[in-house]
Amino acid sequence: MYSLKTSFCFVLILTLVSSCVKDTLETTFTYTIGKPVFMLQQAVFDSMKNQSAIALKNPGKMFVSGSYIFLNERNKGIHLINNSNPSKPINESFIPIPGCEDMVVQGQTLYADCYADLMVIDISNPRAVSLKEVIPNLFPERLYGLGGGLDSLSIIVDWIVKDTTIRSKSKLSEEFPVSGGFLFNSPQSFASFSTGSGNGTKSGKAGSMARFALSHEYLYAVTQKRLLALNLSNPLKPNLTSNQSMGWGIETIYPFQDKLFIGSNSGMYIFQLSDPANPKQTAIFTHATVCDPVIADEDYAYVTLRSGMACQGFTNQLDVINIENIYSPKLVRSYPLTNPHGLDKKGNWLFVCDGRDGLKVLDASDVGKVTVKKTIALKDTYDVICWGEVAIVSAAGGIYQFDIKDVNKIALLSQIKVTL
Amino acid sequence: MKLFGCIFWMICPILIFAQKAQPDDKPRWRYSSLLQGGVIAGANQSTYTIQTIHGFQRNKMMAGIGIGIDNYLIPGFPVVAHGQYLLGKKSSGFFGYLQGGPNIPWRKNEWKETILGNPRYQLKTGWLAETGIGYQIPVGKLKILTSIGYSVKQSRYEELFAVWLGPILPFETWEPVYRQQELTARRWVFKAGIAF
Repeated sequence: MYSLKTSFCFVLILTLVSSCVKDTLETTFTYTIGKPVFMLQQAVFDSMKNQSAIALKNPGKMFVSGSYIFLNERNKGIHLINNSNPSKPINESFIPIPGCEDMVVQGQTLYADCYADLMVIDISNPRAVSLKEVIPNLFPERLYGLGGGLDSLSIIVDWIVKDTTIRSKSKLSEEFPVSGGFLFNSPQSFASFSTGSGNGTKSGKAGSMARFALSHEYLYAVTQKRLLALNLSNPLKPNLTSNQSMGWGIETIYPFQDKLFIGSNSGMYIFQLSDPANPKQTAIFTHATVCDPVIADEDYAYVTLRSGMACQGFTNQLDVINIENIYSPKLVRSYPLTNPHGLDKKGNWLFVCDGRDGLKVLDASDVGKVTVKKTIALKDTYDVICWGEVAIVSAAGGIYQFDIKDVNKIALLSQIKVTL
Repeated sequence: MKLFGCIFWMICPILIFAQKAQPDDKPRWRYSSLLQGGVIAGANQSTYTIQTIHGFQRNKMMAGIGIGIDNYLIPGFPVVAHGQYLLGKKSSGFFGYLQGGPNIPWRKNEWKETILGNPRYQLKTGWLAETGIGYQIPVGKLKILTSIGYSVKQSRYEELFAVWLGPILPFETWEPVYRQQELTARRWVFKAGIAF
């Protein structure tokens, strides 16, 4: 009798406890909110002059011209670094240019992007630069929408960032695992172009990650989907001569002689500059979907393919492509690397920023048998410019300069550190 | 899954025949095993569960450690501490049981999806607790058991929430963003098995 009563109680408790059978999903999500800080457009333009030097925080692309390194502080402006002595570079001043990602220097003129606009800045006196011209809406893809359009008189100059955690609880009543997960672009992803120039010009030299290039007195710029050509015969009044659609995923541009090499996430384009005002595509060398900075010499193009969140794909390698016939580029050989970014070439030596592995020096005297000669350990290397006997490398730790006179005795000359 | 099944059924007869019968009336601890399978019925799915428990028994009480497969929504291997108490005085009759412990996720194919090279789900160890009542009938040296229980399983995982395809200023990061998920499932569990 006792056991029956106990059993009954047990079942009763069981029933009460299990009054409902249900599945609940509790979600905890921490995300970052960015609140834009606006400034009137005219005030931004008025402030584009030398200001006191600031510490490097988030260095981007570089352009070397004469004894100066123009170093982009991503979306903030440009550091002017006096590099007369590569062993003791001096961070002289800073030009605030919100939304700036790229720049090139032609003679005494600096061209830099400010979101959708192109800034033309006179740098004849590097200690007293002045804004001369604004070419509006040249890169409309970079306009911020922010869900409702912006006041055209305002420019975002900063962001107030804070983390927020939200928790939600919901009853699960659908197929599991739930389909979805979000995959979306950033608000201005339609506009994420930047600039840079390709190989050496009489003015200077940019890295291979650049989106601006100088050649034949023209400024060539690639956005994510277009190639623009601007005539610089009047340096302070650039004139747009060509605006070609190229499809999506355009990343870098590199000029060599009368050609432009354009890296996209699906291949390398070759454009001929027989008419510099209107570049003509001659060929495309396709590859897997990845990011691919490119440099070139007379006979070969060197393309680094890398995977990653932005680049997608799973390929990390160096492709050497025969471009003797620019109408029919042919792959010579691929060499596996870790996560290659920017690269440059000095003589037979290739300098490759291989991401977390550091700076790799490759012997490319025989393109069919490229070998790693030396690896210089640096954290997250991004881009490299060989400038005379010096290799200037941007990496997570800042800007490094190496003496590369003798690749067997590469020595660190200086470092401008990033301050967090 | 096939491998686990093979091992499970290979061990079964060994465990069964390795036992030596003990007189029931002596109040001392003796080795005891429980093998059972059944059905889990929840709000969103009805599926199978299997379990093997090994421990010691004294008089009406049994305590042991068990491992099994719980295939409900997010499959896992619950590793549980198990306690069982015979309610009547006879060897046949009702018993109540309690079990609980960590639930180790089983990363089956549907949980191996990747997005742009990043795992979409990162399964974490959760927990399981169960209580119920059953009935046992001795058949020779074995006992046949059947039970009904109420089970709460919490599965934890991180789910890829966003992938930035373009740079969002000023957060220029390409790191995937994950959100923490805790799925708590309250289910009925019907089991049948043998003990020896």
